[in-house]
Amino acid sequence: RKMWGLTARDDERDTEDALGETFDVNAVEAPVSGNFTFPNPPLGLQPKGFVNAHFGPGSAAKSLQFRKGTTTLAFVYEPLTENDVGGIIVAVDSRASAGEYISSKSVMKILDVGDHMVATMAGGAADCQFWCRSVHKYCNLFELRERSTITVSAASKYFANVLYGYKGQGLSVGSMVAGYDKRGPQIFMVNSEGDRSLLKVCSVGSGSLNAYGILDTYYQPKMSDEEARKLGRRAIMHATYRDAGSGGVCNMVHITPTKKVRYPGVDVSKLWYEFADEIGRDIAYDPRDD
Amino acid sequence: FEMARRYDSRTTIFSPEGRLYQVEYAMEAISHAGTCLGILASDGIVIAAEKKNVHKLLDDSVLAEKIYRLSDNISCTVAGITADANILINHLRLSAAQYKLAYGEEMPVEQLVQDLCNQKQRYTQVGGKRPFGVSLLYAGWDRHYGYQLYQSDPSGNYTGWKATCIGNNHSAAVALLKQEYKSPTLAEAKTLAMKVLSKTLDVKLAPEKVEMSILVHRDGKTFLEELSHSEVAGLIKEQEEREKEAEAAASKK
Repeated sequence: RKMWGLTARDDERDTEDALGETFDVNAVEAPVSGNFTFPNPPLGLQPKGFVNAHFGPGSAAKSLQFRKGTTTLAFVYEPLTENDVGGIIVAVDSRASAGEYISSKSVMKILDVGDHMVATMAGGAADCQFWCRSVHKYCNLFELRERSTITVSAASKYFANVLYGYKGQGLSVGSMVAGYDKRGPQIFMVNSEGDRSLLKVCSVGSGSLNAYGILDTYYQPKMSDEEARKLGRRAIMHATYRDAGSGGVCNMVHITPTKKVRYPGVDVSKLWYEFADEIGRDIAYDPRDD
Repeated sequence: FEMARRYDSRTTIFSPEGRLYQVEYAMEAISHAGTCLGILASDGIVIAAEKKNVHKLLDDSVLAEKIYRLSDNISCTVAGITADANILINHLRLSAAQYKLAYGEEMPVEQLVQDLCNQKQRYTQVGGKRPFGVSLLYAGWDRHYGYQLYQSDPSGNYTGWKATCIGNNHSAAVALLKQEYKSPTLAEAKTLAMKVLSKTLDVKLAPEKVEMSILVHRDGKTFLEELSHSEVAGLIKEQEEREKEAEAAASKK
């Protein structure tokens, strides 16, 4: 009888049967002491194989797949008038989903990385949080040693290099590092495949396609602060409306040359009602039966 | 010290009198280094240091010589072999950053000091490597004990102080501080610091020779503010005037 986790070849199809069999013995029926030994992962465990076998498609716990069920976006804009400040708008939703189950409605997906930069979270929440904190620690050490602030380029490069080191081992991170430095406002999109790109307009997550639809239609390089904030919120609202993996509240951060301003979260259904009022359409579509 | 020759080549053994000579020689090295002093005030900590490496051609915009920030809430000043000091400062910064990553809050001052001192002590007992020829003064604020000032030496021993001094002429400085320290405010502490420095410096007091900073905790954040060239010059001027008055008063008698 195969004990769960004792073989290295965990990607065999009949693992499921063995899992059920031993699961029954160990958990459903009262365990008999002396008969049961705690299953230990074997030496030489392959992380990605293990993750795929037990949480990947075709496994018993496929709801724990990391599908980057989220919408995050960020864009750079210049001020339209002297009353405006310009900078970067970063807007995110706040839903965490495990398959069909919404595990949290209030996740903060914008994390601080240093005093002048933020990073967004998409993919595995634990992966993003842990590695963003690690990058934050690196930025702090950098500033102590070099006695000057770290550039967005350097911080994102460090992040990307770390992620590349774990490539193929099952990390799921799709993060945008955004901030202001001596080269101006910059957004770097970094992901667990090892990709790093400098972008002016960027969106990551399952709702990114919807967000890009709005962003690509209404984005102007020069906008007023009010227009920019509205664009960020509107794009998140549309994404959460049509994407099951996104929802909750829209959290937003405005990064200016001098500071980071965090805006309080706005419920996306409230944003939808505002939109419905604007276009004068009733939210319930009731087709006439001719 | 003739007897010492036979026992001083290894740090990891005692001498017959029960001393660790390498540690004592390290402290001897430090007593030739530029003076550093720290004074605890009611609303902050004053740290002042004498810069020994003053050369017209030196580019001092790159590295600080004496006073270093270790984390958001802790700073230090060093006396001794600069190369050794750099290693210790790197270690301290990494320790504090790792603590913050692990626990999500600033490392308490005494813990950081203890962490480094435990490392320093290993070099007096294990491995046959020489100890670090550095003494440090740590100034920091945490929510457990407020403003704190610690001193550590090559033996790995550390002590907490209200005011102390390390480096060149430190015993004269500590004696003076013992007389004059009376729970000062930050402004009074700055004056006292300048008074002590003027006594310990072998050369004439000048703004280029002095590095001075204050550590204050305001609005939930700790700041290490370096005193500007003009402020240091102002303090020096006040000190010189006080000395003139004291001389004039003494000669009148």
